[in-house]
Amino acid sequence: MAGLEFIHKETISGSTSTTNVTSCFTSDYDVYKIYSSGISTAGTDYVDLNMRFIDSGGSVISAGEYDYGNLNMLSWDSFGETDLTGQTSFLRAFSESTDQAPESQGGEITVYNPNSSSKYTFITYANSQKYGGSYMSGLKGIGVHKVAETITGFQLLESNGSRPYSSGIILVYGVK
Amino acid sequence: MSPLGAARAVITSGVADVKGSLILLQTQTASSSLLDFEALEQSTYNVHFFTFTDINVTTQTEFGYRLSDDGGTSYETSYAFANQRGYASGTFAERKSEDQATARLGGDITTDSNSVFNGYMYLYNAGDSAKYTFSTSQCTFMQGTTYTMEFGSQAYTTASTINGIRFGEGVSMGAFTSGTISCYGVSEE
Repeated sequence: MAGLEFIHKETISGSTSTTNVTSCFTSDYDVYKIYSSGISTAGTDYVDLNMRFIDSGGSVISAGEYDYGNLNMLSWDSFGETDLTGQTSFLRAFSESTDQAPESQGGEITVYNPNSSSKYTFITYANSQKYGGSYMSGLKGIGVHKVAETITGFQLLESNGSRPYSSGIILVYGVK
Repeated sequence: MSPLGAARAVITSGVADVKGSLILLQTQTASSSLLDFEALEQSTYNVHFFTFTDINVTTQTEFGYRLSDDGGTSYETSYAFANQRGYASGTFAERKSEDQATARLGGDITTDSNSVFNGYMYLYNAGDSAKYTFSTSQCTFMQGTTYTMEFGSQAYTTASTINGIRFGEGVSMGAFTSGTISCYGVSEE
């Protein structure tokens, strides 16, 4: 990697089910890195952490425009794949699952081509976590937003809708 | 990047190598030794990046790490990991454990000079005393004549402030023949 240039730090506080990071993808870079660290839930029920994109109008894209392929690597059980098309988010791009502290997660996402209005936007991701008292897992995945449009930001969202998270950070960099 | 951060990189590594927000904290080269990094500046960086270059081992074995929360006086011996290993010959396999004395990054590496292990790893949450510490990794190496890759995730599931990391070969964390490891902090400004 030639180098990273810092763009944005989002510190999660309070209790929330979504976090929007807007206007972080521009014409300055073709490739971006997103790191997340220490995202833990407010309550004791674990939850997956997904990702959506934000369009040039500032709207979160929630239509069925996301394809992904995930390898779920479970330390306690056989590995499994989750491969779907036409979904409303990138499943588990931020975390296979996270839980109340001290259980938590860490992960990285690479975003390719978000500023192009004529090409799809692709991502690759990997994360590591512990949840449910005894479950340690890893996840490696790929994804594509299969509509050619300019992407300017992203949303972190928990998959359940009623299992909010309350701590952690998100870091965004341009890849020089 | 802060001027202070850059200055610390010079002090700890002897090499002023700042690539934007990747701040080189230390580079070390092994010579029949373990490699310990105890200048993580974990209160500054939530994410660390490590690179592994031409790691050569003493016997056919895996390569991994242990963490310290007392500045390197002792290193912890309980880790969970879930890795996927793949051979170019076509066989893929799960490598996993809920409790191993080292956090596995990849194996089995063989000993000949062409079997060197190369790769990278991210470490998350080292400075957070209230949460567990995690890593994700990807590496490539030779196992005899078979080209091999391994990627995955590792976790130290005790909440404590991590201020040291030791790299070595095998589950017993032995010295390895040669190789270079660099530790970077991912700057948040």
